[in-house]
Amino acid sequence: MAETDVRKQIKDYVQTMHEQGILDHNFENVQNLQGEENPHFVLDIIDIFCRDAEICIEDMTKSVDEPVVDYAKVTGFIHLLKGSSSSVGGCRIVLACRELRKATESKTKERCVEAVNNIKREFFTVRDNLNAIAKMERSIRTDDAMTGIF
Amino acid sequence: MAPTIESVYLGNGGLSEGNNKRSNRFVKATWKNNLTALVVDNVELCRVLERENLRAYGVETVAVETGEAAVELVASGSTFNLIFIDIYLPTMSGPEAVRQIRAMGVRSKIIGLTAIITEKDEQDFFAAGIDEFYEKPLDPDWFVPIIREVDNQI
Repeated sequence: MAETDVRKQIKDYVQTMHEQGILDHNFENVQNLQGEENPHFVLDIIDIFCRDAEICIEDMTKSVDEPVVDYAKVTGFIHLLKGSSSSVGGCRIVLACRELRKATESKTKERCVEAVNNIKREFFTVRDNLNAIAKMERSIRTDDAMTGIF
Repeated sequence: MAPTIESVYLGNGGLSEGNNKRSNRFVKATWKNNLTALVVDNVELCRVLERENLRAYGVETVAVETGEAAVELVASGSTFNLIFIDIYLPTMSGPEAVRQIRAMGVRSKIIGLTAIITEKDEQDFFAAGIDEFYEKPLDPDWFVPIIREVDNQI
């Protein structure tokens, strides 16, 4: 498929994500930073985000599952996840992080556990959609590579 | 430990290391002066995006992971027009790094960054010596006017 067609597909897909409130304008800011000199930028960012967010959420889950929750530690994880999520436009994860922050302020373990579960759900949604975008990006890179061979 | 410098964008279009040449196609703004910035953020994703956003707007940018690296860089004589620094850094906090940098007489514009603004964090960070405080991520809507202001003051 021609690159222009795939680019249109990606654009339409991102628009749908906007309409569903899954991604906000910050994702487009990431896309705008990609160019000829760094053609893999969006892919790299998606990879870094998904990898690090998964680790953070795992650590967050362990922390709230402790018999005595270290709320300061959980707050540290919230900062990490909210910062990276907002940077890629993962607005629903950002909202979920805010809810966890409120739960840590109330120092209620059950609320924290529920909030972390919500973060996981939102992360899986964003991750799956970003991976779909990454797949489309990779198809352009594969086509470029094949063009180079022939 | 020597500061970790990921890369330096040179205004003349090249990178300081390797053969990874970069043209000026990124530059979305031109300034009267060659502006420089230091980004201090231990979150890789945020650090990369902050660095690339500034470079896209023609600012030569160095990025480091820790407050210690930032302090060491400034102490070694490096100068920056702008410093963007996260409040939560491992070992040396953002406010402590800013205190040490200001204690060296640095008068650069320092912008504090955070994932979640709280009143206490805001007070602590301003008391340490930042000029402005923003929630991440960097957005051209607010950082470009800051760059313009700094450019006009030189």
